[in-house]
Amino acid sequence: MGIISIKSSDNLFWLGRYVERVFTTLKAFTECYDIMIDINDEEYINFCRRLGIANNYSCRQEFISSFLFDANDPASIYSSLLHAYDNAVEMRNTISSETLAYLQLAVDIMEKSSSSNASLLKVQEVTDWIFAFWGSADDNIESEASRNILKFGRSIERLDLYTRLDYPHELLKKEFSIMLNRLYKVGIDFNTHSIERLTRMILEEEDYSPYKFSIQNELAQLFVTGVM
Amino acid sequence: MYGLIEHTDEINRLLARYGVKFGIYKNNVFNERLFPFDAVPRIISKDEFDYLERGLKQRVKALNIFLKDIYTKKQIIKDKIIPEEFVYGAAGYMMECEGAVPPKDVFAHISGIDLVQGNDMRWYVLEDNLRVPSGASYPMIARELCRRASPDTFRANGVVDNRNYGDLLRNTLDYVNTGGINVVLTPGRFNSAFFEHSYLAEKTGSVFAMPQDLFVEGNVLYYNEYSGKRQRVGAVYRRINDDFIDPMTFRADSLLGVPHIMDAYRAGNVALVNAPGNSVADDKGIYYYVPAMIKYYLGEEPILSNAPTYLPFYEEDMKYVLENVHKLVVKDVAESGGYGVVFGNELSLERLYELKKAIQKEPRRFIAQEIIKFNDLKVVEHGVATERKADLRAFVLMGEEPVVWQSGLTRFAKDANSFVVNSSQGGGFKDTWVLSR
Repeated sequence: MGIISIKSSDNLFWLGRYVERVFTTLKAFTECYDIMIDINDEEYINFCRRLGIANNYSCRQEFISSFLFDANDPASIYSSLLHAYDNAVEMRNTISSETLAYLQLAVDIMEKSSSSNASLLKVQEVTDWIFAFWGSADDNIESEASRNILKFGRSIERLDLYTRLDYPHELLKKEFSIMLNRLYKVGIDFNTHSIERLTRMILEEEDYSPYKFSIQNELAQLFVTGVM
Repeated sequence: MYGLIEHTDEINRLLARYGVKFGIYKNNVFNERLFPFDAVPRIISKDEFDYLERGLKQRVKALNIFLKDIYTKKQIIKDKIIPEEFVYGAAGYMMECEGAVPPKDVFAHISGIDLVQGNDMRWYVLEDNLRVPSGASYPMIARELCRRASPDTFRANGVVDNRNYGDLLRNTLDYVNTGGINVVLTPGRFNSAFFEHSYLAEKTGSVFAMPQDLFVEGNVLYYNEYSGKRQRVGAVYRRINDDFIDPMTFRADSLLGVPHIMDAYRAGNVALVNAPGNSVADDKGIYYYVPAMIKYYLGEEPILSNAPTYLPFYEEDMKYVLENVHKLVVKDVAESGGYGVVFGNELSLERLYELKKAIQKEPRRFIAQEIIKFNDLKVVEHGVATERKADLRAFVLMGEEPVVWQSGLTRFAKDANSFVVNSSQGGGFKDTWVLSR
């Protein structure tokens, strides 16, 4: 079914973003967790700063439990996963019950993991289900437009998180090219000036790090069109 | 069969995986609950189903004619088959639907007829649901999982495949479609049956719409695409109650409806499935008259029986009800979902007295029925076989001719001795097998 409303396109876009947010922040969290084991107990403070989230955690242990599992912490992985699920559940007929089921499994695992004494081992399954989600989305979403919007959301989230987390420039370039390709396929109005500036900062500059906040700002402006 | 039952827990886990849930509001908080599945099926033989099928088709045909009659000529009132106060006094009668005749004269596109089987093995109709009956998706998805759990059970038993409900529903939508796309319209994520709305959209290949996705221009309904294009809509399987579907016609404070959708409907430019105003036929008072309706419109004897029912509106029935209320079940006609149902044998003397007073004060508000001795069904609870009261919601879909889905939703009570089978009251469900031989 290739007919998509404004609301549905919004759901798909944010579904892509939140699923990616869970995936990438979980990966980054795992790295931070590793450092906290024997190098720096307070690495989480640096982690929060890099992600641009408030450090409302009183200690390492609180950070670990809240950032992973606290539904009331808007920065938490669980909270992002629930937002992904909320968007997905409204799109069952587009993404298919099969695809939705993988997010349901991820939610279930998060709920079970919070009481596990080896949370991070259990949480690995969330990553597995997200891989399965994307595989299923590729196979089961019939509408090319829907797939493009979903993956466009993923690309935008990646670009945002990659800059926050100082990912290698080559990865950023690759993702930006993917995003550009999808942007034209999605077929909605966008801010051409933002695209020009992003192209310059990501593809033409040697080092993107001096521009990371500008990149995040331009990503936020991407759909601000019309007279300014 | 045992090969199937031993996998009950796994099937329930898979149902959870597919998000088979229903929502419930308690103390203003929305919660989603799983709908517990019991793998011991209700089994209906071919002959028994043939009988039910004939009776259900007959009943729904009569109800459909009744709805057209009530909103147009009102012949059944003029001929004094049904007292007018039972029609115009029904909460479900919609004055706004007067004169509106839907495409192809189909009012009751999807009817959910609730039946119970007595321990004399006779079937009784308990309720007719002609507004937006829900529940077909649950046995459909459960069957899919049961077949995976125990293929040999299905190879050995000749069970009619029930996974065609989506096709039947699509046929109904296509039949009444006035030209354009089919849409499943949900009020939103926090509706109690949201799972079913989205699942049926998927299974019928319809566009899944929220109210804000639709608009009316020139008495034509359109779906607004994100690209700015618009698609004409020919049929709307709407899962929104009449009161809320159009703020310009019904409740002005509704944020769930589509303004002017009733104008498009009245102009014959879109089919609303089911038709607005159907709830008059759902009314528990009108239910009493369905056998008379069948005789009047079709000239046939009713095949299916109503549960023995009394209307305190009639003097004779009032006398009987007051004398026997302690052994009757009394239902408030304005309530649904298992609410407003009281069993006389469970009430204290003081509450019986209060109930009698209420019946005398507002006789039109209540019906009373004999308590049917159910043929209880087997369920497995914590690994032990036990029995529960259960009903059957049969689904009849109207196209050129009515079609009875060869399955149904069997709901069972949460507790032993309870007669209340509604999911909102904590009950579970079973698959309903119709045997092919």
